[in-house]
Amino acid sequence: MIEAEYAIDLDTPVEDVWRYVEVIPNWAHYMVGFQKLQIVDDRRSIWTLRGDVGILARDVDIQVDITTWEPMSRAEFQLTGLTERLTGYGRFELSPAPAVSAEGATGDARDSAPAPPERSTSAPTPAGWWRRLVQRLAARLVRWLGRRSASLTAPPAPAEPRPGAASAPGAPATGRSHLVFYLQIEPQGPMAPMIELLMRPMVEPAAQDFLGKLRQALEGKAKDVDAA
Amino acid sequence: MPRDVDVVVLGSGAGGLTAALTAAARGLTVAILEKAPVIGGTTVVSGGSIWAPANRYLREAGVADSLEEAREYIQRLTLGRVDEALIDAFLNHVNPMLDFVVANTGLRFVPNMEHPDYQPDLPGARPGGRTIQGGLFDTTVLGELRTKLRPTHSTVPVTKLELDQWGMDTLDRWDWALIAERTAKGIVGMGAALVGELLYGALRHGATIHTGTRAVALRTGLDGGVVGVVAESADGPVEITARRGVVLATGGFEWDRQLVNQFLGVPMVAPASPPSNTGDGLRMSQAVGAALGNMTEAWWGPMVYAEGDTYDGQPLFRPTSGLRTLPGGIIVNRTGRRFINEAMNYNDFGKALAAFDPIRYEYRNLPCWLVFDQRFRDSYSIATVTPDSPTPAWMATAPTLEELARRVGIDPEGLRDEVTRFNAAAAEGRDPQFGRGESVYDRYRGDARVSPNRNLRPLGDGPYYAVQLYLGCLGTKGGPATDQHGQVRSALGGLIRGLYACGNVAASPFGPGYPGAGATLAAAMTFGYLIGNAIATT
Repeated sequence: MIEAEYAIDLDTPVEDVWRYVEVIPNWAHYMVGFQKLQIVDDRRSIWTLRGDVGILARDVDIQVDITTWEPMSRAEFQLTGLTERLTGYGRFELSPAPAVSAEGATGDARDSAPAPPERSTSAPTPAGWWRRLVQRLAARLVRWLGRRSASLTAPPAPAEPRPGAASAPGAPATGRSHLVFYLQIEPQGPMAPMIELLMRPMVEPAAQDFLGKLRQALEGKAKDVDAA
Repeated sequence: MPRDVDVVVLGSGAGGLTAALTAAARGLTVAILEKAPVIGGTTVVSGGSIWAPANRYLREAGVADSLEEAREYIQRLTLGRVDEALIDAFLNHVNPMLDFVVANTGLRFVPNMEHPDYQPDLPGARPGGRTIQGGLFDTTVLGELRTKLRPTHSTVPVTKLELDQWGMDTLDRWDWALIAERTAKGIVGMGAALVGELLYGALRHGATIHTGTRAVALRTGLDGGVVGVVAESADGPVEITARRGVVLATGGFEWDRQLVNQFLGVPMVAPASPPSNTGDGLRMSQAVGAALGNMTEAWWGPMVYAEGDTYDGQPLFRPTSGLRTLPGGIIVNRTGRRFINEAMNYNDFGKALAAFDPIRYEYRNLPCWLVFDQRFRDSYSIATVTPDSPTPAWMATAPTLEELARRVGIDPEGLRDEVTRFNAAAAEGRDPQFGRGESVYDRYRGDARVSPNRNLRPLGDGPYYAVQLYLGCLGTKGGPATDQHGQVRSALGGLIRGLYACGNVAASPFGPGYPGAGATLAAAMTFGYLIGNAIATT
C-alpha cells in the first residue's frame, strides 16, 4: 500500500475553495499524468492517467467513486483500476484556517503518518521489509517537508485560468482555509510488490504537485479578481 | 572528456564494452561514447544469454560438442552468404573471449542444458547447452554511474534457474516480492547484469565512459584511415583523436524509418530495442567509404504491442518467444488461416510474416493475430497482462470466434473452419499441417502441464481473444562489412585503417540465420574481443 498526505493553508475562504473543488473538471488536469476525464454521473468518473516510471510509460484508466460528500468540509472517494489491478482511497478535508500575519499563506504538512481511513475491507499486514521502507519514507518526508515549508510560504505566481474551466472563486479572499489531500493506492495481484516499488516514489510528489497547482489556481485567480 | 586516446568506442552495449574491456586490459587508453543519457544499448533489454558452441561448461558437464558441428550448422543457416573467415573467426574465438571476460570481470556463466538451438533439426545443431547465462549484478559497485545504467523494459533481476521454475509466460507465479526487493537494492539481471559486469570491468581497467555524447562524424587522415571522431555533447561539439582506432558499436538502424525502408524491404514496424538505434554508425561508415553487407537482414520476430506502453518515448514492442508456443492459441492471418508453426523460433517466424503475395499484391500474413480461448487467458500472461488483470482494450474479446473475427477484421468463416480443423488434430496432440510441438525447440517453450503435446490443445470454450502481432526485430544486423578481426572493409577494396565494427551495426557473421539464444551477443562480444586485441597489436 502506498499513501501520501499533503496539506496547505490557502488565502481563500472555505466556501470559495469548496466551490472550486466540487467541480472536478476545474482541477482534474492538475493530476500528474492527466490524459482525460469522463464524468459518468455525479458520483462516478473515469480518469485516464499516464503513469511514467523512468523511461517506461503507460496509460492507466481509473474509476473514481465518491463515497462521502459533505459540502464545505469533506469528500471521500474510492479508486478502482480499470486497466490495472489496483484499488485506492482518497479524501479532501477542508476547514477554516487560523488567520496569519500579512506575510502570506503558510504551507503546512502533517509530519505524522496519516490516519487510516474507515474501510469495510481490511488492509493486508505489511511485510517487515515493506514496513521498514515505509518508516524510512516517512522519516524522509518529514525532513523534506521541513526544508520545503519555507519555500511554500512564498505565494506562487498566478496561474492562467484553464479555458473552459468552471467557476473559480469569484470573491476577494476574506478568509483562509486549510486543505488536506490524502491518497492511498494499493496495487493488487501477483506483481503488486513491484508496482508498489515503482509507484511509491511518484505518489508523494504527485500529491504535493497537485495541491501546489490547486493553490496556484485558487490564489492566482483570487489575486486576479482583486486586481480587477 | 579526453581529447586524445588510443581507442574511441562508440556505443555501450556488450559489443562495445567488450572491445573497450579488451583494449583497456591490454594497456590502451579507451574512451567510450554513448549518445543516449544511459548506458547499455540493446544489450540491457536482452536476456543476456550468449551462444557458445563447444563451450567449456558443456565440456565440464561431459556433453559432447564440437566446433566442426557448429560450423556445419552455421553454414547451413547462413545459406552461403557469409564469408567463411568470419564464421571461423567467431567459432575460434567465442570461447577464448568468454575465458577473457570471466578472468577480467565478475561474470560467471552456467549452461542452459535445456535450451535448444533455434533450428534444432538442422545438421550440427544441438538440443541444449550452447546457450550460457550469467547471474545477477549489484549496481551499487558502479557508484554514481549506477543511475546511468539503462532501465530495462522487460527483464527483471531473476536468475535462469528462477525463470525456469516460474515459467516465462506465467508472471503470476513469479516471486514479485523477491524481485521488488532485489530491484530496491539495485540488483539487476539478464542483459543489464551483463552490461554492468562488462562496464565495471572496463572502468577498472581505466576506460572512461561519456553518456549523452553522440558521435556524428569520423575524422580521416590523408590515406583515408580513421583517426578520430567528432561528437556532440551537452558542452558542445568535441573532437577526439583516436591514435589506434575507432570502434563502431552503435547498434542497428531499426528505429530509423528511412533506413528501414531503404534497406530491409519489408514492413518492419515493431523494433523491440531502445529507440536510440537510429543507424548512426552505419551513416558514419558510409561517409568514409565502408563496404556494406547483410543489409536486408534483422533479428526478426513477431511482437506484441500493449497499446499506449512506451519506452524512451516510443512504442514499446515486446517479443513473443514463449507466448506463441503455448497450447490453446493459434496465429492466423486475415483469411483466418494459420500459416506457420506458431512455436517456430522468432527469427524464422518473422520471415513468414514478410511473405509477399504477388497476385493480391499485399503481405499475405500481415496483419496477423494470436487467437486464444478463455483457458489460455486464465493460464498465461500476455505482455504484462496477468490472468487476473482486467482485459485491456488492445486485447479484443468476443463470446464466439465469428464475432471475434468480425471485430478485428478476420474472415469469420475462414477462422471458424481453421479452428475446427486445428481442433480435430490438436485433440490428439498432432499438428499435421505444420508439425507444431514436434521439435525440441517447440517443446522447450511449451507448457509441461499439458499433454500429450505441450504446445497443442484444441481451442475450447469462449469467450475468445485476439491480439495483433507485428513484424518486428530485436535489431538490424546489416552494416559495414568487416574482416575476421572486425576491421571495416572499404567499398573500393581493402580495409579502412583505424575503423572497426561489432554488434548490430556491423554485417552479421550469421547472415540471415539465428543459430540460438544469445547468438546476437555472442557475435558482438567475440568481435569486440577480436577488435580489442587487433587494435592492441596494431
